[in-house]
Amino acid sequence: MKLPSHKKFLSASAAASVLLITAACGGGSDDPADATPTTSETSSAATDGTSSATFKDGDYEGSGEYSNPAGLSKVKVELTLAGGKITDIEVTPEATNGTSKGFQQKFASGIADEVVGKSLAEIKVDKVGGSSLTVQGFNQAIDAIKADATA
Amino acid sequence: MPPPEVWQFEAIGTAWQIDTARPLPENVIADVLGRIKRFDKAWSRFRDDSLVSDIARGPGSWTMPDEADMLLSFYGDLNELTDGAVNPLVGGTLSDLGYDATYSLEPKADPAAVPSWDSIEWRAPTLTTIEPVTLDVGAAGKGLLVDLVAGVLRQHTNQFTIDASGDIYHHGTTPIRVALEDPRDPTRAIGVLELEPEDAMCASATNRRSWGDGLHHVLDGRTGRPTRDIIATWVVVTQSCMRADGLATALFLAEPARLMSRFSYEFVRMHADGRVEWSPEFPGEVFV
Repeated sequence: MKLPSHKKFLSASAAASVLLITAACGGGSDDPADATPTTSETSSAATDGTSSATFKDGDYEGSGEYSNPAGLSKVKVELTLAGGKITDIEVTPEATNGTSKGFQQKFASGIADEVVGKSLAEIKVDKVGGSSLTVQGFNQAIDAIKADATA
Repeated sequence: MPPPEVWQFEAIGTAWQIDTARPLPENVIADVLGRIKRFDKAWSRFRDDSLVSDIARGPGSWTMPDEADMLLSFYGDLNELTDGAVNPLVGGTLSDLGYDATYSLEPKADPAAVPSWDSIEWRAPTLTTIEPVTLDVGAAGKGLLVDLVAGVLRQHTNQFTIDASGDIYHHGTTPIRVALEDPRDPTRAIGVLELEPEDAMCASATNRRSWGDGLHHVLDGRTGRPTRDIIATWVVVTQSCMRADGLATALFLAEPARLMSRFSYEFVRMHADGRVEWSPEFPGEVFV
């Protein structure tokens, strides 16, 4: 599928996963040094897949939603692929109501009145803290990005 | 990613998994199992022939194993920082509440009080008691054992990840991602942490070992009763699973800032009402 513009839209679930990975950089700072491991992990996970697909360079944009106790929150994700790797990524929270904005501010200060949580199948992890289960999954989100970027 | 070779086994009543780059030779496996066995023989309050069971039979003096100094000194620190709430002498009370050698899970009507930490004398390598006391090193012992196993493995390989059901030591070249299991629903995670090489972590939750109305394995040494406000903690400490384990327990009983005055660590903790707190530099994210 060729799009006329250089921008394509990721699936909502993939975009939300990218957001959550990026937000992992303690305190949500914009420091590029913080973002580096995130992007390299994402790209290596994508290239470790069974297919040897190459990704088309260019800018991608997508938006995703996640639910929280205050309702739905929207996020916008923009990323740049160059040489098959993510070279730039930007995540913009687009809180739609005051309570959601409040939650996003609390995130930075390290306290939340409630966590939403995610299904273990949604996140890519090597281990689970709390039991000895090994979790597989989350690759779906990466697969969605791959599918979009190779289409 | 953890290395690809997986070795799983049961020890000290819990599931272990050790991931390595290549299969471990038989002599290394024997060394690991031997180390665990020696630890269990000294510290288990669930076996009659252990040193701890011997100590529980009556007052006296005992020569303790090498690791005792590190462990009991750490307990001394935690005891002080939590005003007595963390106390390895809770064993008798835990047992009376039903968490005993036979897992009777039947609480006695009048469980024993917890002896004060000051009631024992510890001068390495000698422990002296004036009454029968049941040591329970459940708060930090498993983490220490993971450190000891890491010490054995380090002599043979430079890449391994040890996961002793919640206590993890990662020794490798790349970080691993660990889900923070939601204590209210084990199919979900409340966050993810990234464990760097040479980091250790401990996840502690009261849901995994609870056996009745408000009864679980984390006791407040001051009241002799299970804690209620905190339901799960996760702690990351560089190079010490023992500290991660002990601090994960202490966070059920004390404020994070007070513990930070003595120890360097990162944490997430969850309250019974669903509130979650985490340290500013926590290497991961919480799904708020």
